[in-house]
Amino acid sequence: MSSESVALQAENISVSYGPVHVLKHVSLRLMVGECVSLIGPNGAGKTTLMGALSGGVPVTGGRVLLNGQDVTAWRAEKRARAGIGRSFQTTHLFPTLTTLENVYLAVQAREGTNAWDYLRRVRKRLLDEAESRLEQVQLTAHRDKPSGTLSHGDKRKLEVAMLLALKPNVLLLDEPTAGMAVSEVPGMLQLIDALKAQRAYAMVLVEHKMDVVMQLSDRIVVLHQGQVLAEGEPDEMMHNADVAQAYLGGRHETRA
Amino acid sequence: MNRNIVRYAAAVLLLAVGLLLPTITGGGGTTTLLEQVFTFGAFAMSYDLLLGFTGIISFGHAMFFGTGAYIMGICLVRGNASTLSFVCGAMLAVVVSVMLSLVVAFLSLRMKDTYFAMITLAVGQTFYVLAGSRALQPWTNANDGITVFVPDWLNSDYAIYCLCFLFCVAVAFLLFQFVKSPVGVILKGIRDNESRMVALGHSVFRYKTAAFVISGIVATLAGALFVIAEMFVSTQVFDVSTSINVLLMTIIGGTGTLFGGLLGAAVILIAQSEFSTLAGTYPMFNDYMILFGVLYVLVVLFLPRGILGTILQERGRRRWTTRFLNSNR
Ligand SMILES: Nc1ncnc2c1ncn2[C@@H]1O[C@H](COP(=O)(O)OP(=O)(O)OP(=O)(O)O)[C@@H](O)[C@H]1O
Ligand SMILES: [Mg+2]
Repeated sequence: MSSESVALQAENISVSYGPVHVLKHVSLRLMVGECVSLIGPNGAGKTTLMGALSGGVPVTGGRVLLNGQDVTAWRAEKRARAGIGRSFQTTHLFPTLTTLENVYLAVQAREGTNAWDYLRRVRKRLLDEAESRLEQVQLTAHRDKPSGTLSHGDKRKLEVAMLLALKPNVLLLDEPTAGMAVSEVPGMLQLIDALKAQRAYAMVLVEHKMDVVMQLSDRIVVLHQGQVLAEGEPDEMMHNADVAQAYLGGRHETRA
Repeated sequence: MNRNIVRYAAAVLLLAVGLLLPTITGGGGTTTLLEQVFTFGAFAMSYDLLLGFTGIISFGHAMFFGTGAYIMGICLVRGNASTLSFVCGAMLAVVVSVMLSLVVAFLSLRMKDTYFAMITLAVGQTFYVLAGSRALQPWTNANDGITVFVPDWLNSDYAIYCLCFLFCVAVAFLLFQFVKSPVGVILKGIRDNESRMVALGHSVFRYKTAAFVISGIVATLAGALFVIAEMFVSTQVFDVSTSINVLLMTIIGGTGTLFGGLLGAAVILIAQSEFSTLAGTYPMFNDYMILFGVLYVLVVLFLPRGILGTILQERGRRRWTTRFLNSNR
């Protein structure tokens, strides 16, 4: 696969909740190995777009293409199996299951659903893999704790471990550093940076912290009131007047 | 290694005590009570698979219990209590329960939980009405119920007791293996966070259906044994109160603990029988159901994890703190 090939493409996506049009004809193209940041004020529709891409939110118009294939009609679990992995803005774990079991469920999901295979040998292999995923995010010490009792930063790391266990080729990261203590942020950034360096993933990153965005992204897409306001290289975006106004100007309609 | 030996020894001891229990407690009423405890115990454990492990609430689990009871009852009556009719009854019960659970699952398991609960309630009530209906009287004897005779080899208190006890042990063992298996982890995942399971790519509906079918089979067989223990079956087995009872047994024992169901069944059935004995001497105990209501409220308020759940939690906490202290030393 050349690095020029398109991994994920959204064409004219629209999403409405009843009369409220949350996304209006949003298009997005994501190359293999690319990291695109999605920014925009609160309520711009970033999380909704992630949902539309991953299949959690039904679209009212437009298409989603994964490696050139139309997946718009696929349900979330099918898209997940096809390689779209998603982390959630608010932690979204299995609170009473142990940290290891959380990752294990992800590994198992990827391996398919013929559960009886797992009863003996295969299960050991999957558990081993789950353990190594935990190690990757430095959570081995907490493997037997219920994930609900982890610190917030550790929960976010666990989210990433679960995401990676799916071996996706598209990563949708919704504010991976949200709510983290300042000291926890660099660890997460390192993790994402290492993933990016592998150039194997196409990433969409939703982030509010501008320094993080500048450091990690190849391209930035600005979403405002459900529409793409601007898109381009990080430097370009920093000096874009429309963007500045959308963020600072608050209520102004930026597009004539 | 050592631990395994201890475990096997404990299991053998438990089996021996179980099999000898009626000779210790004396026969008659007590044995009948124990048979009830074991059949309802298995029933409650099957219910916990839904409530405690998969997180789905059914208000109509009696539909399985009752179906098993009626199928076994009718087979034994039609087959003149032959061994063959007993075997056929058990097999037919399994087949019918699979069909029934699949139909109910496809009707409602994709829907919201509340909708599922309502459907199960409605289906359960339909069975209650059917069992009492005049049209089916040649089979079900309508509201009068069926008196059942059992095969010769089963025709003693002790034989029936052993059957119920061993059935309950087998159910406990198999369900325990099941919930410990990878599928069990998936079920618990569904209970904890269904939408995340979907996002991970699990076929949640398929696993919920599997849990429902397995739970249904066990509940149906429990009902089939119940009719043998009682030698009588009436529409009561389909009553909502049967579904509610098994719900309460599971909650009191502790949801998500599996064996809690057996414990809850024992607590409730023994308490019920003690109260009705007391009511014979002191009429004020006639209203013991009120006391039960109070008991339920107290359990939900102070032991939300149920009896076994609370015990396990305490043990878990102590273990965890010891480990923590050791690692800090
Ligand atoms: N289930 C829903 N029903 C109705 N409206 C919704 C729903 N989910 C989101 N919205 C609305 O859609 C808009 C976009 O929400 P979304 O969560 O996508 O924003 P966001 O860009 O992710 O914001 P944030 O930065 O706060 O995460 C908001 O106005 C929100 O109120
Ligand atoms: Mg959001």
